[in-house]
Amino acid sequence: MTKAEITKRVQDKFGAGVEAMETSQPEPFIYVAPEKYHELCRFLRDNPELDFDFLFQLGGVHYPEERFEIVLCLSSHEKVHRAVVKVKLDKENPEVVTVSDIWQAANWYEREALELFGIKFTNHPDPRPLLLYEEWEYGYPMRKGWTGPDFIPMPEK
Amino acid sequence: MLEFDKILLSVYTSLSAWFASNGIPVIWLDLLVMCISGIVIIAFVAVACLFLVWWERKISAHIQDRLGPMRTGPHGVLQTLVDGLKLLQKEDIVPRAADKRVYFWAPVVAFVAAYMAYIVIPFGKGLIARDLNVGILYVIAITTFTVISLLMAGWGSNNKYALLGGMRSAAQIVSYEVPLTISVLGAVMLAGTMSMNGIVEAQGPYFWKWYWLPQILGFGIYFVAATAEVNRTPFDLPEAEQELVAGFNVEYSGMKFAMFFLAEFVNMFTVSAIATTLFLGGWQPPIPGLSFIPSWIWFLGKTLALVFVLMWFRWTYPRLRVDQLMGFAWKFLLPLSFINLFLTGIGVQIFK
Amino acid sequence: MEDLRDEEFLINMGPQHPSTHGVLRLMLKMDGEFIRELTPYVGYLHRSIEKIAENRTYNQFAPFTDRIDYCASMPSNQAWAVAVEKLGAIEVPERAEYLRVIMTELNRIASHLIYLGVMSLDLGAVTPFLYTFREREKILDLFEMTCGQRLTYHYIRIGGVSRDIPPQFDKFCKDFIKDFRHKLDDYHAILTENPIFLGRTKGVGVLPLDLAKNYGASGPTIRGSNFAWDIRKAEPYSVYNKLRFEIPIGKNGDTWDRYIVRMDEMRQSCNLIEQAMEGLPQSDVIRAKLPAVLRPPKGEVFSRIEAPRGEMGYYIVSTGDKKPYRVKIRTASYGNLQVLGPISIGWKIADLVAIFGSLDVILPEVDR
Repeated sequence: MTKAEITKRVQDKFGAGVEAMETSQPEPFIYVAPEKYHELCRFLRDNPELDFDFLFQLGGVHYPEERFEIVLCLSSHEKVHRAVVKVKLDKENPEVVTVSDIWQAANWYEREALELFGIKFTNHPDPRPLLLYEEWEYGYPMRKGWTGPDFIPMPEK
Repeated sequence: MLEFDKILLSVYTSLSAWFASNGIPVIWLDLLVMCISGIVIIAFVAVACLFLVWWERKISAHIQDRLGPMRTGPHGVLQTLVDGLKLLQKEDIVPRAADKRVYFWAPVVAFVAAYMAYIVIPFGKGLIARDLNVGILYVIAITTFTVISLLMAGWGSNNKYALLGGMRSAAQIVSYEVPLTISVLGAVMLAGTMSMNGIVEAQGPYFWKWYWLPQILGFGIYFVAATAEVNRTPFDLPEAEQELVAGFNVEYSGMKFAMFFLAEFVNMFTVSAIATTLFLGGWQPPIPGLSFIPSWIWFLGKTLALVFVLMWFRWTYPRLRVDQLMGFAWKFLLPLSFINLFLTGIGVQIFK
Repeated sequence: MEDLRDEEFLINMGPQHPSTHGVLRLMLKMDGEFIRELTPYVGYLHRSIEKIAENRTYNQFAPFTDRIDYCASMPSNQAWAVAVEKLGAIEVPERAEYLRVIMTELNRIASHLIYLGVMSLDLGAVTPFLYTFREREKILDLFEMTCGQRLTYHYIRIGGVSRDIPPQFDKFCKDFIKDFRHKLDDYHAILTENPIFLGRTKGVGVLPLDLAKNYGASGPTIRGSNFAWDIRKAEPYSVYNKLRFEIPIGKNGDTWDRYIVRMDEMRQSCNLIEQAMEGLPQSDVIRAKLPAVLRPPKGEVFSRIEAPRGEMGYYIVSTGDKKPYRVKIRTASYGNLQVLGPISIGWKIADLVAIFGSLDVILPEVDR
């Protein structure tokens, strides 16, 4: 399905909750409100014509003073089309529901976003840090403007 | 030429004459002969180890398209000596909570068990330390000693993983002994005697009459079981499991570790020597016309050929998993060896 | 001594491994011999490459991409180049595209050779490891004569490649391909029909297709489960739509199938390299004319390519500045490693070694 068709299908179902981003890229970039996010993801996966069964990646983006953002890159094996779903989150307390019950791949991506950006995912089955060690206490490194200490000692074992 | 048997015989006769003339009972001569043959065997085993370790490294290197040791002596012949010297000067670490006596004696038992089998192996015509009339039975009994040393090593290390590794190795060796023994029985039935020299001579001087042909199934079973007895690939999961859990010799270092290591090579030579004796005609040349080449050269050549095949296996095959290994012994080799025994029995009755 | 079979106990396959896949810690809950649960702990190789990307220009970041997956450095370079070219609508000259195909496919062979050597080493057959590294030496010689490097090339740049191939490359490469096909037959002779190898790999670690898709597995891992999905065919980039090749797939999704898929992929790569060498256009232009400091237009891009281990892709946010605003790297082993937990339940540790070898995971890719 083309970019316009996917966007139209999604907008028909969700109306005001979604908004397509202006882009010259061949994939549709869709903004969705956090309340409709989980439902949209389920719709994208389960709808037989969209059939987005592959979560390529899920990452966080930080726009300081504005918002956090979650970006999902999705693709479909059968229909060979792609889409990008973005969710704008609060700049102080970014929190959104997890999609690891829809795509199991999201499990690790969300753990990574949690420890690097501080974005919380409600109902996540296993919110341990993935890349950083458990005793890490120096903040969320991927945020813009993060400065860590000059010297980080080895954790006491 | 180097007719050791005639030399030894003449030395023995002259010595016994001298002893008799001086009124010393013959028992002292026998004792002397036993001591000397013991020393000779230890020396031979030591030199054989030296050679076999170097040979393994060279063979593995050439199979893998590289050269192997080249610097220590011409083509690396002194490599084993140098490695042994290195291991000698390593610190002897004993785990604090280990059972000291058991921990100490395990490698000793391994090595002693390994070379005790050499007493009955016929190295050439008349070159056998003691031709027991239950030779092959003695050898099989002695090779079981290795199991004790493995269990001692596993227990004495006071390490739950070493114990598991040791038990697993012991289980493997014990399981493969049954088809090994039964396949040996085939050759014994054909020869009619258990004495090693007797089996060699019963095979006759022509290579098509040696027992590898009528006992081809038995030879195959023996060789596969022997590979498992010596813990060589494809049956070396108890050793390789060191990567993940632990082998029985994980807590050993220095010379004690070297003892286990050398015991493995000595065992390799032992099982090949037994295979040569039972199935390949021992020290006899393939046709009597070639008997100008001394008998011990024939024996060594055949044994080393079999050792080469064992080494070849190691560097070619992946390993079997532990349950596949045990399944293979009990469900495949054992029934096959019974079939072999049965057919041999029938054959002996028909062709006698 | 308590009966170890009846209680569950934990085994830690610690960060240091004899199987050289990288630094990975696996916590296994065992029930006697069998694995009940497996938890991987990653992050030992985290080098914060994504954060570094926000402080480097687009061209300056390219050498970092080599090190994301150093066994397949050319495709890693290409993933970045393709992403930035998609963002900036940069046209790559045709000779450069063909050179990219040649280099990427050579690197695919090199990466699969590492897989083959390490997998057979894990299973106990030591010799194929040395044979595959002997073949790899020839490929590394080819790379060295082209760009001077043996492991991390930084050859595929944004807009093209960095330098043209020398005149002796042609003959060397053709000789290598001809010889390599015979060597592939040798490797098949050693391992493929060997009953011990079959006993260790057939039926072991079956990966069901829906599980693979859900967990984000890609590349030969998912192709082993009877699914012909390859980005080079599905969403062709570079000049792959002009070249003829097949996608090998496995039938059952077990370890042996994944092994066969990679062996056949090496053969297909040989075909691709030959076609690319024949179709190489005579031209002097190997890189698009770009400003010294690249400033792609404002926007976001999502792009991916087929790396030897699976799908590797980027999500880049650009504000029109000379440095990217956000670079999110998605590597193949990230998805493939998540699959290890579910498929190794019920197998023994010796099988776990075989399964993990067959997934062909490189840890620096997972940790970035």
